[in-house]
Amino acid sequence: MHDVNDPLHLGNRSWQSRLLTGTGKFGHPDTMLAALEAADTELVTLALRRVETGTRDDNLFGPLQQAGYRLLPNTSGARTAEEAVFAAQLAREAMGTPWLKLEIHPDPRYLMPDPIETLKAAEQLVQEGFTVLPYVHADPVLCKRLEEVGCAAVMPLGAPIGSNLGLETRTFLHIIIEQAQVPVIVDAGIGRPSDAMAAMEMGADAVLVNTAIATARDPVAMARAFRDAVRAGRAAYLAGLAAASPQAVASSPLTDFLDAGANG
Amino acid sequence: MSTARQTHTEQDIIKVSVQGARHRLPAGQTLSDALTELGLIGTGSQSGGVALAVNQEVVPASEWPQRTLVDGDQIQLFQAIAGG
Repeated sequence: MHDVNDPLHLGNRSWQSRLLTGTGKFGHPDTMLAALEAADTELVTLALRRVETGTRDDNLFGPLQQAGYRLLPNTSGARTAEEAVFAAQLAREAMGTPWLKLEIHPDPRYLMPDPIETLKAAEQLVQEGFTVLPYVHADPVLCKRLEEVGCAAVMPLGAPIGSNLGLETRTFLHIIIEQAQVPVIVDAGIGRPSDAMAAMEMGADAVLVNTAIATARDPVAMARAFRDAVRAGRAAYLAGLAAASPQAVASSPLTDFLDAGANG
Repeated sequence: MSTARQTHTEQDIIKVSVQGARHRLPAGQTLSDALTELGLIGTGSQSGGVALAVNQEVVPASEWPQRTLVDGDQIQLFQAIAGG
């Protein structure tokens, strides 16, 4: 069960789930819907694409809305601030929400987010009334700047999109989490439930997972595993992690009762 | 533009681009008409999850029936798809 006393305050509302989920790469829409349900997610991402004449992709919008999910459109495919703003306006119209995962990555090989274009677009989109969640590198300075222009959260990456490499940016995620006044959602690179749990233990407010669930052998079971990991990580963070030490610290009293007989 | 002519001439035809492909349409046609005629959107209820831009400006679905196309318009239609 969710901890009802520990909602995630993000944008203008509270959320019970701290696991945001992407909808890409699933083998079948039914599998995706079942996985989202197993993840117990509330906010799910969608992309936008130009309609090719004569072909229609599976309509995911209707089923996702009917299932009650809140939608988080992304601007994937945008390479500049200008393109991202256009994509955002289209997404708001198509999906009926001002919420936006702002992502601008001009380089198709590593999909590294462009910090300059992202900041520029974020500033404009906030002014246009969007609830902006920017996907960025784990750059503490940039995250602060995005917060200052009014972003509702920051979404630093753990590792390149879809890489499943885990929290390669751990050191910088710590700094971002420590400094942020808005929710920090670790996005991209989370490959295992243990990665998600580690991010939550560090104090991340939420994580976004897509590839690791969608491309698992059993996406539904993996979604459940991520759900549990995120909850466990959050619970551990709230409980306050015990201190680490390079030396052993005994958990049992080190009395000398074994020697007692020899001496007596 | 709409002069009272009895026969179709070049002036009664506009050229627009839809998804990058050129189309010739009767002058005065609305966006809704054009989308239906080109088979891009079914008549009646909107399927949702789609957005449209004319000349790189988003046109809300509520304005499609009123929006009259003019020569040279560039129409782009977008759709929500799976993504992360």
